[in-house]
Amino acid sequence: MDSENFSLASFNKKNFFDLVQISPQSLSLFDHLKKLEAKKFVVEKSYVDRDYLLDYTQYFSRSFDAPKRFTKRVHFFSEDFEDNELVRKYLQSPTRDFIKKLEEEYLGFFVRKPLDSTPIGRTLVIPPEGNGKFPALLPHTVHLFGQELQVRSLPYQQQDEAVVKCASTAIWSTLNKLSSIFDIGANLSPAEVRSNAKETFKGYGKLYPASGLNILQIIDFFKRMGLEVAYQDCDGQPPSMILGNLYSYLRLGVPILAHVSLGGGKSSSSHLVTLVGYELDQDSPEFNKADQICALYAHDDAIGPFSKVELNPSKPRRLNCSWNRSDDYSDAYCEEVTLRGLIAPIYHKIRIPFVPIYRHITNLKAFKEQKKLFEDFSIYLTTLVKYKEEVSKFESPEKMNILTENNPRFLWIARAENGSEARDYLFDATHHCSPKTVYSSFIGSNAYFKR
Amino acid sequence: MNAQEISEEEKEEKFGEETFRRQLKENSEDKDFVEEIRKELGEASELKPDRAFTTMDI
Repeated sequence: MDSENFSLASFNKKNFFDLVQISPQSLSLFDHLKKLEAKKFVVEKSYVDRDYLLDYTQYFSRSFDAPKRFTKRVHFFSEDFEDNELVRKYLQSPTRDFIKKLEEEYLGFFVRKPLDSTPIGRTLVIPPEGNGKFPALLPHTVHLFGQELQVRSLPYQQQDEAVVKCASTAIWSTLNKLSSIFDIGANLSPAEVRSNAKETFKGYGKLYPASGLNILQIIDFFKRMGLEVAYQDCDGQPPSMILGNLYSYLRLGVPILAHVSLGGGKSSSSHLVTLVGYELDQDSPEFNKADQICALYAHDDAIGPFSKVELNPSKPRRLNCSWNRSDDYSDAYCEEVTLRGLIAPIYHKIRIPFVPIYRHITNLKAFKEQKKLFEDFSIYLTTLVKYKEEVSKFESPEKMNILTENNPRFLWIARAENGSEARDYLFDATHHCSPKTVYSSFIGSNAYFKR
Repeated sequence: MNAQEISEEEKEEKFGEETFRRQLKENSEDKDFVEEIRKELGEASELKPDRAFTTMDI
């Protein structure tokens, strides 16, 4: 079906690649949607996308041969509805049943930018099915022809190599979620991210066409947004420290920026991706949940959204992903992909980092005793609101006290648990004590039974 | 053995708040342990100059 303002098509290779040319990102997006069993897509033929419009204003509009200002927006559904159903039951006389069906079967959208070689703009699609956990995603309301649809995702886009490269794109992906957790109000377009980092260019390098950002510029960007950064150098670090760091921030939903090097030795290049989820090995004998991580999910602007990164928990720096797998998603194959550093943007008042909490707890005799009694152990950062929401689902003689007690906004939780019982040890993450000695930040312990 | 099989008194003695607090205090007073953490914290969290200027160039 093809009208002046929109079109409806079956989801297949031909129809999809009539819209966008073949690239690692478009192939990866196509496969992702295929696995989600996409059946139909609706194209809004003329759509004003805020992020592209701001990039356009800042860069493209002043080119002699400027590209178009408007984009297309492409919505995907796993429902195989007929052309006339969309017209009759959605547009002309909306029926509750049909709208509900579309709401349930909505997989998300991508913005098709009018840039032929880099067309994939802001993309919000649901995560893959399976055992992945995606706390870094956020519900987004999407309006399609006067009706509201919901998609739980984190923005992704392909780097356009003109306004932004990997670092600015990866930062941009994190901003929605960081704004929601930490109240920072940083709704910036990719070009605005780059402009904000320009203060640290200090006279070298051109702002446009985009070149990469270095780690100092990335950290400086977050400081300008009123945040701090928990930086973890992964070289030479024990696996538990690397995985523990990942788990403790991702579980709260903080998207983590991962610095990876592609290739070995002096010929290696650096790349930045946004980590949005993780997967635990259900059969792992490890006591600490973080040590059970067997895969991560990355928004990689050179590969695609929710790109799976497999790792061996005993050697978590060596990654197995699209860059060194023989799938078709990377332009350049490289043998080695190594995790070099993790950048977790956090609220400035979170003063106690992961390392001292982890070291103090795992050094306790009580911790060693817990291994005999509980199945799992985890250390993670949370907010008081989230913690109370979680506890409200449990049974505990102390429940009323836990829910009504005044505590700090951010907490470190050390939790020992088995199928039916859990015991939490709470630390004030905002405490003014020296990060080396966490004793005075200890608030207390809660025990409860899971329902 | 699971958590239900030991008495409440024993649980409190092994994992209770006071036990945890006491052991944490002992940790914090152990100068060698605190020094170890200081070193590890430095190694893990400090951005070294050569790393700071690594440009993400892909």
